[in-house]
Amino acid sequence: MTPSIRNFPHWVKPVDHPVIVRTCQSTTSGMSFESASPHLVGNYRDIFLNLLRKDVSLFNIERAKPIFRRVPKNGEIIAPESCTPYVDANSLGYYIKNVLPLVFVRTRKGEVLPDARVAVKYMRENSLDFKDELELIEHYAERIFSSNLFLDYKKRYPLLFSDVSQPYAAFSNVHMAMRLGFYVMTPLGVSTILGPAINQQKILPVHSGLMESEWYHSELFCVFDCPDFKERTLIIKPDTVIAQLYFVAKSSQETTEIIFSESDLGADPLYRARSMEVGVDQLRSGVKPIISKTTGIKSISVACPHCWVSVTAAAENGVPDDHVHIHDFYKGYKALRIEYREALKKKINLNNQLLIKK
Amino acid sequence: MDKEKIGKDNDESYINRNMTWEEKMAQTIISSRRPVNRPIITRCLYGSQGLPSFAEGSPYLVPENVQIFIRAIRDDINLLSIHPAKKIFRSIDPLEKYPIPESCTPYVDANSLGYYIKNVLPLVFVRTRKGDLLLDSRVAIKYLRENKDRFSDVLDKIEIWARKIFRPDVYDDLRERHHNLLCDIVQPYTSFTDFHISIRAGLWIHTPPGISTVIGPPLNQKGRLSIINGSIETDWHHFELFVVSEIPEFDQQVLIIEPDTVIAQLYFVSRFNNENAEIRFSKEHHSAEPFYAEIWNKMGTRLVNEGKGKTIERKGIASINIGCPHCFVSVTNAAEGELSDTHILRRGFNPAYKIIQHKYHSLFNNKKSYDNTYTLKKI
Repeated sequence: MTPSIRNFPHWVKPVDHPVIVRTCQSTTSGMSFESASPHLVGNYRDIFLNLLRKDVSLFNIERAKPIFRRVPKNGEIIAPESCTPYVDANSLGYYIKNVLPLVFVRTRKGEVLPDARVAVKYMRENSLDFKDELELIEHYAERIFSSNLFLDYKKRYPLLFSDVSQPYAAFSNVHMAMRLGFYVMTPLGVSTILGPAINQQKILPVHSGLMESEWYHSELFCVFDCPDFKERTLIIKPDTVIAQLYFVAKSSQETTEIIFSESDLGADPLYRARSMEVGVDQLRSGVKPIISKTTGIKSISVACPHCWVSVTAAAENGVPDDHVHIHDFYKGYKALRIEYREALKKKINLNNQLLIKK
Repeated sequence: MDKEKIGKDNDESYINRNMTWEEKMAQTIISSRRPVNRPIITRCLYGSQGLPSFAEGSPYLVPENVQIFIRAIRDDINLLSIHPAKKIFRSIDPLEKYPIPESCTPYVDANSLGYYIKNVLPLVFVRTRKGDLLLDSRVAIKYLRENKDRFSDVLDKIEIWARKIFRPDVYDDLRERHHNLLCDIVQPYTSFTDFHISIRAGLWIHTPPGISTVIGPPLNQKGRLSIINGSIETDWHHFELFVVSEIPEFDQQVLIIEPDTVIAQLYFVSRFNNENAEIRFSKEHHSAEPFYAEIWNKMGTRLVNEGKGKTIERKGIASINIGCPHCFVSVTNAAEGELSDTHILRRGFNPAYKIIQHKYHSLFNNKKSYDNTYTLKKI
C-alpha cells in the first residue's frame, strides 16, 4: 500500500481500474424508476415496485464507438473516419443511453413543464391531444417491468404500467437534470468527465461536468439546458446517446510543464526522424496515402503560379476543370501506433516470462 | 550496482533474442524516449519543414526573402498560444438567479480542465464576390491585398496585429521596404477536406504512458469555430499537433476572429483507464458506494440543519410537481390556470461536494507524495 493510499479517509474505497456500478436504487432509498411514474399513490406504489425489474438502471452504459454513422462511400471525399485521432476521440469511454423515452411537453400557453412525471400526467389529462405520444410511451414501458406478470398487471392497472418515462426535473429556470443510476470509482489521479457525445450532433444541450470519482462514489447526474423545441412535445426515443463519459488524467493537468524550443522542427527530433523513415518505407513498399482532391475554388493555392499571379482572377473567373489541388495523407500515425503497441505488448509478455523464470 | 547491471543485461539479451528486426527497431525507438512522469508541452518556433511556423501565414514568402522573414520574426513564439483553462470564463451578472452554473463544482472543474489554445494572429476567412469561401489563409490574405480598395479596414487591422510576431527593432527597420511580407500575415490555416480546415498548433506533447491528449472545442463554451475532437496518443506521437475545424459559416464577405480568442481546449485523458473500465451491477447499493453514502447523507443533513445549504424557491410553472396534492389533482389546471404566489417549490443545495473535495485534497498537502504515488501507479 502506498503512503497516499494509507492516507485515504475510510469512506474512500481505492481501486486500481475504473469501476462503474449500475444500481437500481436511488440515493434516497427508493427505486430509481419510481420517479418515472406520476401515478404512485396509495398501494399503487407497492404494486408498481413489485413488478419493477431489479436488474435495470436508469440509463444504459455502452462502450463508445469509433464510427457512429453510416459512412458515405465516395472516393473523392475523405471521411473524417479515416483520421485515427478522430475515431479515437469518438470511442473514448462510454455512451449513456436512456432506457425509456425522454418526454418534454409544452402547455397550451407554450411553457415547458418542469418534470417528467408532470409532463406525462399532463399528457394523460389531455390524452386526445397526445394520443401518439402516449402510445409510444406505453410501447416502451414494458422494458422496466418483469415480463412474466406484465400483461396481467397491465390489464388491471393500465395507466400505472403504461405511463412511465425517463425521469428528469428542472432545477433552475434554465437548467434540468437527469439522474443516471450509477456511480463511478476511479484510481488515484483519474476523474470522470460527463458531457455531450463526442463529435456527434447534440440531442440535448448537455453540460460537461468533471467528477473527482477517485473519492466521489455517489450517483452521477447529467445537467442540460432546458430544451428548445417548436412543437408541443419533444420525444427522444430510448437507446439514444444522451451523453458520453470518459476518464481524464486530472493530476496530469496539474503537473504539466510547458517549454519552448527554438530548434525542434515541430516534433521531437527522434520521432520526426522515425516518422519520416516510416513515410519513405511506405512509399517504397507501395502503401498508398489517402488522397483528397479539391477542385474549383477549393483548389486555389498560392503555391500554384497561375493562382499566385491573381488570386482574385482565379477565384472569380473560375479555374479549369483540371485545376486540381491534391492533399495526400500518409498513414504514418497508424503505422507507428502499431509499432508502439506491439513493442509494449512484447515487453509486457517478456517481463511476464522473466517473472515466471525467476 | 553491478548485480543490477548484469540483471539488466540479461533481461535485454533475452528480450533481443526473441525479437524480429522490426520489433528491435521499434524497441530502440521506444527505449530512446525520454521517460516523463508528467505531460510536457513543447512550443516550437519552427515547423516540420524547417521554416519558422508563421511563414505559412504569409503569401509573399519566396526563397529570396526567407532570410529577411527569419531575421524579423521573434524567437520566442509559436503558432498557437497555450494558457491554463479558466474555471469561470464569462462575466456573471450579480442579479443572475441562484443556482448559476458556476456554483456547481463539477461544472467549473470541467471548464478549467487542461489548457486553452488561442490564436496569436487573426484568423481571417474571406468570401469572393461570388460568395465562395477561400480555404487557405494565404489565398485569403492575397485576395484581400489584390482588392485593397474594398478591404482597407481589414488590411489595416491585420497590419497592426502582425507586428506582435516580429522583433520591434527589425520590424521598424524593414517594414517600409518589405511592407507586404511583414504586414500581410495572418494565423495560418489550410483546407483539410472539402468540409474541414486544419490549423497547425506549433507544439508537440509528451505524456506519461497511457495518457493521450484530447483537442476539442472549449468545454461548456460556444466557440467561434466548430472544432472537431481528436484524441492523440502523445505518449509516443511526438509530432506537431493541429486543430481541425468545420468550415465556418458567416454571412459577410470577411470573418475575422481576433487574436487571443479561445479556439480549442486541450486536456489529458487516461487511455488505459478508458480501455479497462469494469461495469458492475448492484441490487443493494443506493446509487452510491455504501460507506460513501453513509458519510454523504449524514453530512448533507447536518449542513442543511445548520443552515449551511442554499434553498431556491421556484414559482409559476416551475413549481408544479407531482408531490403537491393541488397539482396532482390536475396538472393541466395548475399549468394553464393561475397559480398563487404562495405556490412555491423549494429545492435545497448543500456544499457537501465542495467540502469533501477540499478535505480530500488537503490529505495530499504534501504534493510531492501525491505526485510520486500517481507516478508509481501509472508506471
